[in-house]
Parts: sequence; C-alpha cells; structure tokens
Amino acid sequence: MTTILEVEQLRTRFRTDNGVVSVVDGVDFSIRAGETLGVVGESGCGKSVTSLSIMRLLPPNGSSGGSIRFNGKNVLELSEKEMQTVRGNEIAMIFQEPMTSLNPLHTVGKQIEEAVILHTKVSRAQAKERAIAMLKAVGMPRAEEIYGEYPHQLSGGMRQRVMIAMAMSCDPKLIIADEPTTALDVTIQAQILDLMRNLKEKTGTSIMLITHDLGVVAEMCDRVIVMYAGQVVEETDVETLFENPKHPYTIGLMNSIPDLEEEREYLETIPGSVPLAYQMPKGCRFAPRCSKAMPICEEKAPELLQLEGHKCRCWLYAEEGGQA
Amino acid sequence: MTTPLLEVKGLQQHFPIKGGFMKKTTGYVKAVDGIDLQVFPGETLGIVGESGCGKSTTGRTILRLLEPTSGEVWFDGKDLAKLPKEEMRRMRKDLQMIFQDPYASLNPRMTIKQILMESLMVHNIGTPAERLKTIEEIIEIVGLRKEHLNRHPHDFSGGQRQRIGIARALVVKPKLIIADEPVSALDVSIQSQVLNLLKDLRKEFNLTLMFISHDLSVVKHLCDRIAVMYLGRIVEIADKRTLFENPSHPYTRALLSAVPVAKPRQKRERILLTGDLPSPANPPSGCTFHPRCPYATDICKSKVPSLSDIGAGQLVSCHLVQSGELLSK
Repeated sequence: MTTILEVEQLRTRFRTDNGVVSVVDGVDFSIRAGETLGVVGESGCGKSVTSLSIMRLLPPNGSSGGSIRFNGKNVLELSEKEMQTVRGNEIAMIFQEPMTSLNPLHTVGKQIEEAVILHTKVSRAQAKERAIAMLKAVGMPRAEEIYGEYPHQLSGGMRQRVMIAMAMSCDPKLIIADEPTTALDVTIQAQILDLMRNLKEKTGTSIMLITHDLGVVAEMCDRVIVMYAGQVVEETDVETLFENPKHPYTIGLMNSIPDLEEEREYLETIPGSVPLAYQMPKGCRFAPRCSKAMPICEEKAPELLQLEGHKCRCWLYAEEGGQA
Repeated sequence: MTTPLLEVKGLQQHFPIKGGFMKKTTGYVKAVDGIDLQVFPGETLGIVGESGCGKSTTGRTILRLLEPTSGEVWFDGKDLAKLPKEEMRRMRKDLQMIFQDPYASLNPRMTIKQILMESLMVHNIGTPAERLKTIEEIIEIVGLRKEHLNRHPHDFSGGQRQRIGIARALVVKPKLIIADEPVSALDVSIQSQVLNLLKDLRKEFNLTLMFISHDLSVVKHLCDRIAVMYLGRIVEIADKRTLFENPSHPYTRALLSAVPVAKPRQKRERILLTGDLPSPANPPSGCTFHPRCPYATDICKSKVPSLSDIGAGQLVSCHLVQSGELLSK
C-alpha cells in the first residue's frame, strides 16, 4: 500500500504569555492509502493541534517545524496559494461541532457548492447537481429540499451529515475527522459511524480519526496512535492495541473506562493529571503518573522504540531489543 | 417492601412557547410528560436517555429548581411540589445536587472555604468553629487537602472542581443527592477517579443517589436500578442486570446496541434507528417512539402505552412487549 501522508518530527509551538510552549513535540506517523488511522488521547495531548498543523490552519501565534509530506510534497513548504488547492480538495476536514463550523447565513446547498466550484472547473448548475448528489450519498432524506435549508433548521446528526457531504464533495484523498461524533447522541453516533464506514469503502479515502473514545477506535480504525502530552507514546494495529497494549498510559486509559460487559467494583485510575505544556517533566512525560516508573524514567526521556509490530515510548521495553 | 425515600407521581414539566402578538402562548414543549418513579433508601437510580429526552429537567423539577406543571413529588412524607417556598428552602438541606459543569457551578470570586461555609450557614448548621471542622473533614474525604480551602476555583483542574462540587453537596449531610452528568465534562482517566470517589462516599454516608447520565457504561458501573427516558417519558425501568441482559423496550435495545465497544474483533448486531428525535413541542401520537420503531403497528400510532410490570420489577411502556407480540430476548 502506498503511503499518502508522512509526518516526521512535527513540532508545533505557540507563543503565549508564559513563553513559547511546545504543544506537539516530535510526532512521527504515516497514513497509507485507504486506511483509517485513529489518533487517541485526552484533552490537551496535542491531537487536534496535529491535525490543524497538517491543514496549516494554526492561529497566528502558532508555528510548525519538521516535515509533513502529503503525496510527496512537504505541506509546510507550500505557499498559501498552493495550500488552498490542497485544503478542502485533497485533504478535507470534519470538525466536532457542526453548528459552529457551518455558516449560519448560507443554505447548506450553497456551502457544499462553494467547495465544488472553488476546486473544480464546473458550472453552477453542475455544482448544484453535485451538491444534491452528495446530500443523497450521505443519506439525507428530501435532499432537494434540504439543499435550500439553513443549518439551524437541521438537527445535530443532519448537520454532521452535511459536513461529511461537504468534505467528500471533491473526492479528497484524506479526510481528517476531529471528534466527528463526540457532540452526538449514541444512536445518532451509530448512524454517522456507519455512514463514514460505507463511504470509505466506496471511495477508498484514507481517514485520520481523532477521538478520545476507545469504543469508536475499536469499531472504525485499522491502526492507532496514542498521544500523551504532545508525543506519540504507542503505535500499532487496532487488534494488538486492545489485546496487548504496552505503554502504561494506554493500559491505564483502557482500564479506567467502565466496561459494559464486565463488572468491576472499582475502576483503575491514573493518579494526578496531564502536565502543563510549559512545565513538562525532564524525563518521560508520563513518569509522574506512572505506577511502573523507574529511576531512569525521571532522568531521561525515552525514544519511540520499534518493537515487533508495535512502537512504544517507554523504558520498560528498552531491553526487548527495541531500537529507536 | 421498604418505603421509598422519593416517590414521583405523574410529574409534568411543560414550557410555554410564546410568540406572535402580545407574546401569546402558542404551544408547549413537553419536556417531562408524566413520570412515575420511586427511589429507595440507599440505592442509586440511574436515569439515561439522549439529549432532549428530559432527564435533566426531571432532576431539576424534582428539586423545584423549576416549578412543576403538575404531579406529585413525595419525599419524607411531604409533597415537595406543593410545599410553600420557605418550607421548601428548609427541605433543600436533605436534597442536594451535583452539576455537570464544574467550571460554571462554582462562584469564581469565592474561596473554596466560603463556598462550603455558605451551605452550612444557609441551613444554620453548627457554630462557626464546628462548621470549620466539618468542612476541613469533608475536603479531605473528597480527596483534597485543608490547604486548598483558601484557594479559588480557578486554581483547580476539572476533576478537582468536581470534587469540590461533591463536597458542597455532601457537607450538609443530605438524604438524597441528584447528580446531573457529573463526569461528562471530564477526561476518562479523571472520570474514573470521580466515579470511584462516588462509590466510596455512597458506602461511607449510605447515600441515596439519583444519577443522570447519557453514558450507559458509566450508569451500569454505578447504579442499582436504571430508568430509560425517551421524549419526556420513562420507557423502561428495571434493575441493572435485568435491563442489560434482557432489555425489552425497542428503544432500550437500540440504545444498548448503539454503544461502541472497545473490542475490535467483536462484531455485534446493531439496531440502527432511522431518523432523529422528534420535537417535544409536537410529539408523535400514541407511543412517541413509533415513527422510529422497527416493530410499530397500528395500535402504537393511536394509543399511548402505560408503564407496566412485565415481571421481576421490570416496567416497560410498550404495547407489543405487554401483549407478548414482541418477546424479550
């Protein structure tokens, strides 16, 4: 399978009143054609900032270093004009909150059309046809009527369908979905996940799915990276991740969710909370909360070790012949 | 059978929709539309449902944070819905609430000490010295330290703030606590800390808890009995085990099957509901679930089903389950 996105040593910093803070600090990963990569982590781990860095949508006080190669080009070196042909056309994004990411003053049809007209040389009539076809493709009833409706007239689940229709309208090679179902109810979430899975099968698009919900990861993803405090701490395929998680953070995360099928009196907890971006520990960033921390963990930051079918940033596996 | 600590009968909460000339009432949003439930001493009753089903409104109406449209709320031999305001204020000592958003529910200009002291002063509990002793005890019970008392809410993380919210509810030694989505705003690793704390406190104080949440796995973890709400009504209520092993109402089944499970190899049969939640301002006729129900028949469109016992204390509001046409799994 060909690799369509390759992120190497991505560092994203923000200038703030507390000085320069590194929110993403040396992140490496790649996405292959037709694959769904899950990016898991809790708030503040840098998962959303990673996606904004790829799309070059950082606020003015942010800047990225390293390389993000998409189809061979380094996205970070493109001019703003070149970037515009990538954004929305080759890489599209679906955001968490469909109400704030749709323009309330335009009909949903016009908003889908806008993307189509911007990126492809088609007439208005063709663009309208495309917009209605996309609304039908995402399972909207009464597509012709909904074309002329405004976002406030739609429910949360319908708005998210519109976002997906918009993202898919230019046949992108990669869709970055940032918590696409977090704001939705479970029964609606099930509908949207089902839709995304079907569309992916039909079009062969790659998906980068950012979420904090391990259940969603298990259902949707082929491969997963787990992020903690701006770094990748574990990377493996989805089955290995759930059957044989290695990093103590991943293990802690999995044991802290109540299981619908298994009953436990107490949940495991990860003591303390995530370190602040401008007060990162010297050694391993997870060491202060880790039950397996050793002296070396507090001294020296571990590399992302290459193990068999697995990558893990933890000193516990340094002896397994892991190589950085 | 023990007598319930709280008994709700036919509770309704209708919000008027005003519009047009002279702001005439043009209709009602039936947020809660006839709820009956009982909460027994020492138990934790979970209320689950999706957004807009009326679960939060139910909690708030029971506590008279919203004046009920009609219905009875029996607590400790008194009907809360009809108590004069002054008497209700005194009752609040026994009925406390924990809110969802730990950022919005603590006054940012008060220290933690002032926040906790206020509850005790309002209810005239103890002398100033006793009050201080009580709050020093409670702050350690919820896992914070005495030094924290002089700080302000902004000094704390979300999980710590939720601990303060819990301390504030506990400090007056209430008989019933209604917790409205207390862990939804927290990250999973912090959520588990707060859930464990609630479990410990429940044992220590023999608390009766009404736990409102949209998260089925959290509800299953914490609650003894669970009520499932849909569009302002309870569609099913049963003890935890029965509900999860033998969900009977078609909505309960769909809801349970929709939860993503963290097991990649396991492929489950999923009941995908079509369409969205109808508007509570204009609910469907008969059983309000019928437009989305895969089994709906003619009777479902015309007649409102009652909530009745199908055995072992499992109450279901569905014509087809009650007549035996739709068998439990």
